[in-house]
Amino acid sequence: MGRDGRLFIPSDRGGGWLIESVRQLKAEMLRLSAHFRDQDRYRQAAAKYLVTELSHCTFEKAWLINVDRPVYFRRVGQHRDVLDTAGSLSDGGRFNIGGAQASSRATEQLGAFCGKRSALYLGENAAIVRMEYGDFGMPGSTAITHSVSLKRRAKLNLIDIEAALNSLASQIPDLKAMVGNASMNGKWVDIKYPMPCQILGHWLIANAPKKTEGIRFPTTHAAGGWNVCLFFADTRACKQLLKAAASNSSSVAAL
Amino acid sequence: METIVNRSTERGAIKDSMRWFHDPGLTRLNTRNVKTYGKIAGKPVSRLAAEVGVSRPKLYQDEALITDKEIRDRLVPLVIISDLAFELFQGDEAKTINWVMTPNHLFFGQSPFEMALAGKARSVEDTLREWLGL
Repeated sequence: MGRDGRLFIPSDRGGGWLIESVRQLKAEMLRLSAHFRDQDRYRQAAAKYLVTELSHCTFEKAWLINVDRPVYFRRVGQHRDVLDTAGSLSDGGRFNIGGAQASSRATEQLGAFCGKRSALYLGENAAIVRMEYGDFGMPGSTAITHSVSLKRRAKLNLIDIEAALNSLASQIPDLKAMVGNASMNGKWVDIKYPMPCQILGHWLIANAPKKTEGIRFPTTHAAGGWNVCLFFADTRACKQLLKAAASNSSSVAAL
Repeated sequence: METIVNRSTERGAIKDSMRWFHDPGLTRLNTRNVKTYGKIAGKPVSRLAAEVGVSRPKLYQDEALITDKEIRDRLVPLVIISDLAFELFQGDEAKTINWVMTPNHLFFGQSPFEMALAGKARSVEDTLREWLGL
């Protein structure tokens, strides 16, 4: 590039050098960077609104469901511990706020609505978790799908997010649109301010009866399919409740 | 960056499997391939030209010399991401470039290409390394 900040492009006719401004390329980079900054600004406004509205709402027991002898699935990299919740505590997830979002600014602005939690995200079946995980159709992936079930107990106590959203929508009409369909396995570490779905998740579990373990929510990858988000104090607590085994499903291996 | 890139390419760490650049030093952007990849991913040429910051006629030329540090700092991770995806698709170029150029739910609706241009390639790279078991 020349001292005047221009980009040189060799011409395919005649061999001389044409000159093209780099301003367009830089402008596109700035546009994309601004896109992320705009999202942060939107999140701050949405969070403030949601916190105000949720402070007037009460948790309803009608949102609770019991799931009998559930078997869920979770896909992780081959070197990862399938029941490790430390990653979600640092990065955050769809319904839990992690260290990446819980900045001093967010904590100051959102108060009790901004609490870090560790969580484990599971899918209803192996095909769903592969699509959620994102390596669908990649034969070189070495990630492994595990089945996850309860160690000793028979039932899991969950909040049905659809029941909660339908009920809360009468008081917060924009709630469904705000919560949206963010990815369960998205790269939450890039999100630097709590998203509405995370604030709602925090509010739900903080206001639910003590024995409530998580949230059941629909997957965006298969009509009628479900995922669950289970909250834990730490990985040790997670391993006290759950056990995991590598899944040998041939239908999964073929995906 | 120049030194790091050169050392990396010498060691074979950056292969540029998708030939985003003409040279191993990653200075001469292969605009012809940029255009081809856009077509594979179904991106209109005019849209692609805006995204890589050149005029539509320029996209039909062979190469663009990239020496601006800010631009290189974002294009080099794109090359690395493409290399890792190429391994995951076991050498299938069309699937690789389609993945790189397509909006992805993991990146909240941005394509890996756009993540790289936005300076957010790190999480994409980390994800691909995890999938490869690296």
